[in-house]
Amino acid sequence: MLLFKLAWRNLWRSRKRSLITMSSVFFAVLLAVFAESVNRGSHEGMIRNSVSYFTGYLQLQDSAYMDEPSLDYCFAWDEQQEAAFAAVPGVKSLVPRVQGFVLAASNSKTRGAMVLGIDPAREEALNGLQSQLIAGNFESGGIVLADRLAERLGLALGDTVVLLGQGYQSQQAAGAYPVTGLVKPKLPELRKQSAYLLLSDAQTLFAAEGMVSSVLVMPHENASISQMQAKMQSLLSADGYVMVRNWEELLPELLAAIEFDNASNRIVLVILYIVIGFGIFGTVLTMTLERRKEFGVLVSVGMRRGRLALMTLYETLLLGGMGVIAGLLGSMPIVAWFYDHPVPLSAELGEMSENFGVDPFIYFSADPSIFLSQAGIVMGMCALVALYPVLYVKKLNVLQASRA
Amino acid sequence: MKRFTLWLSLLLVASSLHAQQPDPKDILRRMEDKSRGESAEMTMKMTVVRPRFTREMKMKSWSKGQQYSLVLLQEPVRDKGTVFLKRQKEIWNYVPSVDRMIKLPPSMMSQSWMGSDFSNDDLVRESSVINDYTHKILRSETKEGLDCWVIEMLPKAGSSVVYSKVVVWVSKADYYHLRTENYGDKGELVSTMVMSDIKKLGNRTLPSRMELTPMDKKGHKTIMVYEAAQFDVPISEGFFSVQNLKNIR
Repeated sequence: MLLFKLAWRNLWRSRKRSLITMSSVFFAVLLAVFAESVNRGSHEGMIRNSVSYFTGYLQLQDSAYMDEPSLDYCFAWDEQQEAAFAAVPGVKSLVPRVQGFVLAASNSKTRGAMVLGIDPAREEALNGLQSQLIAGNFESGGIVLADRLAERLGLALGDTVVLLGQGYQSQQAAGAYPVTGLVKPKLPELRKQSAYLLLSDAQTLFAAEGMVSSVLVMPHENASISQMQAKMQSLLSADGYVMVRNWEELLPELLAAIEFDNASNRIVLVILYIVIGFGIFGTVLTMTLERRKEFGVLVSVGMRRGRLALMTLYETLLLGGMGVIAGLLGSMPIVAWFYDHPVPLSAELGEMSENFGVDPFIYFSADPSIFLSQAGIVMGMCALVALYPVLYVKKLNVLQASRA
Repeated sequence: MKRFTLWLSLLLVASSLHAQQPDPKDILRRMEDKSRGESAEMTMKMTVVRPRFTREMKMKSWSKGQQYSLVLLQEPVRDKGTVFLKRQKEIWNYVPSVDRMIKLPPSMMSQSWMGSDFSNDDLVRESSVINDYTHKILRSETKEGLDCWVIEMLPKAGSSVVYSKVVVWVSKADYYHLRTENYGDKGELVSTMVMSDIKKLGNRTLPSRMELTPMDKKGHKTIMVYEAAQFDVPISEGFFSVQNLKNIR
């Protein structure tokens, strides 16, 4: 305890020196947390977008639908089933959709389009589709086109678009619809090709009355996805084709991409840790050398080397600990702010990221595990660096040192 | 005199040897002439077989040479009156329920034609069996109880053929086209087409049933049965115009 007190006083004896070390630790934590937050945040952003627009966290679909997303694999969906699945604990909302690829034609132009038959109110809760409307509305019973698709077809509000394609079991799907809305979904892929009809209209178009392609499930926060999946699977008849898939099964490409990205990020992080580590080591090194005479004198007046070493260990760890805490306190508000305010990318960069199918924002993650893991790693590096003064004291030549 | 007979018999042997290996181009030309007239009018039934359902369609078709053809759907009732028109490399689709003609964009050409195993491309691809390939007779084989030539066709460089190799079975006596196997880039079998049920169609005798099986899709199959046909009835080019699409019944 005495040693600890000594160490503490030593720190405040030379405030400037301590502050320098602490700030190097502080910035180390800040940097590490920030880097990891961006990494994770961008991944979380990708997952969030894909899940809310495409898959849901869980999804009811035909077992063959994933390999061949065809309207042939629609399944019947009625209010009774709806009620049964909505009653599963943890379910926040069920979002039924019927979707298929068709030709969309204006008078002069023809483009491929993905028609989604939706329930606008429920989509809103899932991905905020209503708020992405730039003109008109979803409820008038016409068709709502994504902005770029409308542009390509040369269509405006009130014009008529003809849809042509194949519906359920290869029946012909054909219909003419007035354009009653324009929407700008967040994902560039959707902006180029999506068109929205009310669920019932789309079912008629595709000759799939009472059927859906998929039912997306959004859970309450903190609900256990795997438990919900198991419970829902038990509700489905075992001999049927319909099954429950989770987002990890539904987005294997995305998971693989994230895995790959993580690997390269880890290399960057290791380099960052090395830089940070040597930064801390540098300050500790100069401080130790500075105190050569002090150490020499202490040993010559009878302080045991072991205790002296222990004291320096305490000092470094205290500095490290305080630096880490300060770093955490400093990074939390910054990360929290960026978490709420994703950084929009500049025009060119934004376009580039859109070409990759990612929306043009840098997202940050505020996952508590980031703070803990980064603080832990920096603290670990401090502990490693703390060995230097210990070894130095052990090998100190007392005569030379005290004369210096 | 003896000498002369020897020469004669040698000559006969040589020519008969030659007869056993006729020109494959010639076989294919005769096969083509047999199945395709100047023009044709046909009634047919298409059955699309899928793992979980089967769909039947009845249709009538008119064609003129390789360039023009027109297909009118008669059944199922829901799709009745739908017309597909092929003019050279274009496909037009007329749908009565929306009363609109739509030209299929290039992006749709690889898509399935009316849910069958044929792609839109299959309908318009203008590869000539004779000019776009080099040919070789592989062997003789019996199909449908008929002695056939098996001819290997390798696409020439620069042709629009999508397969790396096509093998065709043609009957020796009547030049019926009885089977085709299409091979992909890695030499794998992509699809087979089997023709059978030889019968009289109009003024010709032809295989009346065609079964297309893609190899990469389990349980998928498309069967086309010709129920009636008339060949070489003159049809004017104007019949195959976009304007005429609406009038066909």
